[in-house]
Amino acid sequence: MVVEEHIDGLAVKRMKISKELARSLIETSKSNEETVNNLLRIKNNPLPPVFVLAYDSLRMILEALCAVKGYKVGSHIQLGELVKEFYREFDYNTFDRVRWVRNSIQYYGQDIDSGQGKELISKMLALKREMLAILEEELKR
Amino acid sequence: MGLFFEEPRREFNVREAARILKIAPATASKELKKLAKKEILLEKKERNLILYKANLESEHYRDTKIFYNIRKIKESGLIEHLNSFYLKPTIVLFGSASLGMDVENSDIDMLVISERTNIIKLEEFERKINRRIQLFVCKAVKDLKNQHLINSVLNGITIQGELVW
Repeated sequence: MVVEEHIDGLAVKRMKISKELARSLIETSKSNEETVNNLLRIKNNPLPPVFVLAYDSLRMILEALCAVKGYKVGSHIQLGELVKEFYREFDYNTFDRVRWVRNSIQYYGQDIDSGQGKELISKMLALKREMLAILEEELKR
Repeated sequence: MGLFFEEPRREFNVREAARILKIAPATASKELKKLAKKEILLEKKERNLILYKANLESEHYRDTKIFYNIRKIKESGLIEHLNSFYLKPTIVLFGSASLGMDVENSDIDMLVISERTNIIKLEEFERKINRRIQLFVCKAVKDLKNQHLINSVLNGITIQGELVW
């Protein structure tokens, strides 16, 4: 059963703690990262779709972190806020920035400079790996 | 107050202020007196005129001026312009404008922290804000070479994002 709950003003849904869901999200996220790395090797490949894929890879890990705590969040803003509530080490500012860039690409057709885009993707994947390490610790418990 | 924020060094008499603000001189006189009583403005008598000017020593004036500066920057569309080029970077307002001490010919000093470090043209926004914009762009605060500049930035106001060392 899904119950709506409020944590510091965030409307989130309480669900059964699901390590299986978290593991599945990790797999999909890893596969996304592999695709990102393969696409980055292709010369002159347009960067915006790769950026969105890398963002999804990070988002899945954050969703998995919420799943192991027994929460489900619909909005990406709230996802970041909730992870920040649970994990102090989470770099919310970087996440919020890449979320903004992803939305600009997805909804407004924003183009990104190749050098800057690659640097941002690399920052995003570093954040993903950092959060994945925390998630793997959670799954061992 | 906008009058005194735009031209902090200029002295205005009641009639002048009333004409610019398009209000009755009696109303202007009443309001200016109130601001002088709070020491936000300085009042002095010269011949038959009462003159008012910004009191840059007043904390109340400076606090309000900081708010005015930030609103003016945001309302000009400059932040959206920087966001579109630098992809939502950290933006820091520093120098006199962040202290509410800027006067007519002061620059607006801003730092953008982003992976992209080209400087973009900002003439359109300089016209809107009516001040020259001095834009610094770097990948991290540490990259700034000048210690004085680093100190000013660290004491500035982060308009967007997060300032990390």
